[in-house]
Amino acid sequence: MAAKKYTDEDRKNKILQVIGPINKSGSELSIHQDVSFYLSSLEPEKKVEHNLESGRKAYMFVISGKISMNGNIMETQDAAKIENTNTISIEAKKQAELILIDLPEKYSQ
Amino acid sequence: MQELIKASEHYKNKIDWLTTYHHFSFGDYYNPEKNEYGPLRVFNDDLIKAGTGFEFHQHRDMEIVTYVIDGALRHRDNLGNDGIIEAGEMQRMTAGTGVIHSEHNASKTNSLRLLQIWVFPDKKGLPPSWQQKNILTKTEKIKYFK
Repeated sequence: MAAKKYTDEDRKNKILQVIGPINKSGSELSIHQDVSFYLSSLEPEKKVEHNLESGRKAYMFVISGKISMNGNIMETQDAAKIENTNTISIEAKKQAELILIDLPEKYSQ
Repeated sequence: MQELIKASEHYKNKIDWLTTYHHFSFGDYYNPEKNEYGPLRVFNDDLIKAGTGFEFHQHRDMEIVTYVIDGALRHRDNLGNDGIIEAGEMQRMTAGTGVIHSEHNASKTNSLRLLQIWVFPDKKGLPPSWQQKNILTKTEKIKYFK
């Protein structure tokens, strides 16, 4: 198992990568696909951004709390599909726990 | 482009020991518009009562990510693994050529909330494996997850 443990600070008001593709991952978990998983824990009014490279899209889920994502309000258990977008801008309205999955438009199976 | 999916739109299945929300087709829920999103195939938000869980079942050719939000999950499989995934921990299991596993709420008193997310692997027939990681240290879990 990976020796590194994350701390609260690693994802507080930041987007923390927790899973990456097997040939590209560092200390996070690896997965046999061209996808990355991120977690974020946001205090109210804190902002984070995630950049989507071209040819990629994202699936986002609000585990708990309330955010604004590219101007759209999302609350506990809301999800979003995001594509043809360069930047995902997130601002917490209330303390929020988020998971974001960065996905390829084209992939191998 | 953003497509928002409100919480109430997820398919909800409630039985005596489990309340689950399926974002994509799963089990008895089939929605031809929600079969996958890129290689993301399943996204389930499960609330499992104390002392209950999923009995042994098989997976093949799927990457299965489990993230425990609240509580603790006991995970056993035919690779010889028998362990706990606690709140703030994430596990990736490669089913590959086949894995049989069970997933139970490790607590006799508290409910367990977890996300189970399936992703198509980039090739079939991989050797089964798994990896697990603590996302938070123990003291932070107490702070975040009561």
